Amino acid sequence: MTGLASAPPITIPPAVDLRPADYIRLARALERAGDETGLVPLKVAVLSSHSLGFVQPFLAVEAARIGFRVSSYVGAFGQFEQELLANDSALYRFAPDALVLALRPEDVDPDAVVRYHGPGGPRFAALAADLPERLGRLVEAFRARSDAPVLVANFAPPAALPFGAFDAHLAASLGYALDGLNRAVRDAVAARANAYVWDYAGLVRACGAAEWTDPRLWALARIAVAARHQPAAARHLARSLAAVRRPPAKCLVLDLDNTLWGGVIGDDGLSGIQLGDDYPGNVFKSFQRSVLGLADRGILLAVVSKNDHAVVQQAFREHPEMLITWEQLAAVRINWEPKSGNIRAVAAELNLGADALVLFDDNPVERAEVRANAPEVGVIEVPPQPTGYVRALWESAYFDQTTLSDEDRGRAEMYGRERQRRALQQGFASPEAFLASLAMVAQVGELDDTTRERVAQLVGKTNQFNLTTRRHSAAALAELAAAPDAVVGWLRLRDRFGDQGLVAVGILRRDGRRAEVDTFLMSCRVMNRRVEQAMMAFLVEHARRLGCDELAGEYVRTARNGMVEQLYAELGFEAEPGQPQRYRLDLRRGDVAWPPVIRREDAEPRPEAPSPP
Amino acid sequence: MSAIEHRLREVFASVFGVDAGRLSAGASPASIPEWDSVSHIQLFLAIEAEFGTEFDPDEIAGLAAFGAIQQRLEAGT
Repeated sequence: MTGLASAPPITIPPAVDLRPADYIRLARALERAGDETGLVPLKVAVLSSHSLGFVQPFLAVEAARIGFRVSSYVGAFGQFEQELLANDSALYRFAPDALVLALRPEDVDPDAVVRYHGPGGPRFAALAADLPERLGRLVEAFRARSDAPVLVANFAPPAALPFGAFDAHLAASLGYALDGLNRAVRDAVAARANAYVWDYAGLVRACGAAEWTDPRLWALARIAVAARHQPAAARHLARSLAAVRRPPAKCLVLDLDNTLWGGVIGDDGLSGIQLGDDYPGNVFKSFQRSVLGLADRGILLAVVSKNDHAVVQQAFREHPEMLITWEQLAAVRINWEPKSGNIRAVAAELNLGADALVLFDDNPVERAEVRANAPEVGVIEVPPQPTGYVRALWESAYFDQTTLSDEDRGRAEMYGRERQRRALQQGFASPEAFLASLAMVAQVGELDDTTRERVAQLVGKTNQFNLTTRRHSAAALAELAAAPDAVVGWLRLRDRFGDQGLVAVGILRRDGRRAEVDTFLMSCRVMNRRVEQAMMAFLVEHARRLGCDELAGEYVRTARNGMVEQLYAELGFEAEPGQPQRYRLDLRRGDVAWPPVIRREDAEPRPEAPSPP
Repeated sequence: MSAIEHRLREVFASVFGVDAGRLSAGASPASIPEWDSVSHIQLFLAIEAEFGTEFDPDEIAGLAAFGAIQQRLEAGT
């Protein structure tokens, strides 16, 4: 145990065992325990067109379940514009870490919804034309006063659509119009920095629109969510808040026996395990397909299993129903050692923090061993019935991400190739000979529209190979790139095994004759390949182009970036006397040369240093 | 004390953070500062979940004392 809290930890029982009174009691206990809970504090402000005060105890408990201690401020319903536009409002005095904006068209204009096929139609059209940008402007008003992320609820269909059963068949229906409105809301919200759609419509759909609202609660208190759905609403909101406040997990660590297939391969043999198109094998095949669905958006897959290596490899290579291939696994540990140690070894092999790994294992004893001995690793609570696996995987909030890049889509393959590279490396006499054999080509350039999303993603999530860990938003990066005194550079790498994508970012700011490294980071998967030297050489060139004769930089220590502590020194910078962790390179005498093992391609013409006067 | 009264005291204690043993039949929004319009609804939802019953909207709007709610629960629907 690493916790120092003196009070016993507050355990949150499964939601099915909790009644409203339990939620209220637990929320109070969490509030009282404060920092002793060991949870990450998060101040959440909620502004809405309907009464959301009920959500507070549910949100506190459901957020605690996934690691946050939420204290919340819920504005009076229908007051959000006043709150957002006044500098001294209760909202800004609360100083939220996140803001939730939840507005319903029927609260703005009930006739526009209920009487859609009469006088409401044109009114809905007017509202729909205005609402997305109005929400966008509200986000901007908040942004002018706070950097906190904003979640904007989209619009759920009402319990009863005015055209009735065939609403979905009619193009001129409210349901059809709401779908279009939700796309417009998405576009307006996503165009604003650090703002995200809260999928309220998806929540209502998943729970059932027909019984979402209890008409008694609506009539008495303008509460739009029935008691039975209040915990689910809070859980969904907590999950969405978590996704915008912390990076997603990066690797799913899988057990094999009774997880990826039914039965025990060591006992039952290749032909005896359950995996196929009929029950019970179809249950495991469905689970494998869902796992691949995660891999498709960039989650790495690893296997940690107490088994015989050769038997397992044969199963992956030869079982005709196996959907996950051996080559898709980024790391494999098949032995009889404790899983906690094996999972940490996988993390080290993949250059990830162990807190970026999540275990899915049917065996409660193994889960408990990992929780006890590697508490930083995420552990999904797997239900005893395999038919519940898929749902358990989706409901675990670990892999929620807010962006999707081409790098994400190709990541599983990329790591498969990395395993091949590691195998190749063993045959070379020197590291240089190995690097030369990779036939690396790096493209370098400055930020533009096509690279902005990926650069922002790297800036937002790179923890280890990162000198300053400054989390600039996409909007801030675009602003920097447009400034005459700054350069936002990036590097894309490919080699004989394939495309690694955009893997490094370097940002310069000029101050007179001196340029400062604002940001310098790289994806760990291209470590030890001189890529950092290439990226720095690019910055050196640009510093010269800007007329600087000195390049300075700082190492800002975090809990995660110890690996780059010596990076400036390794690249030839001198320590600044008397200024710990500050380094400088005299550009009149020193240089960082482009590494010969990497061929260079420029996205734009190469910058030229001004000729000496 | 009836089983119903005991369970109702526990619900009150959870919702308002008050001592279950010190509730009188006359306990009301006037005597419990935490009993406001938001927690009033929370109270009735908590009671409904605890007792597996459902109140009419008129009852939710009108019942505003411990003793009155207890009587209503003991009388059934």
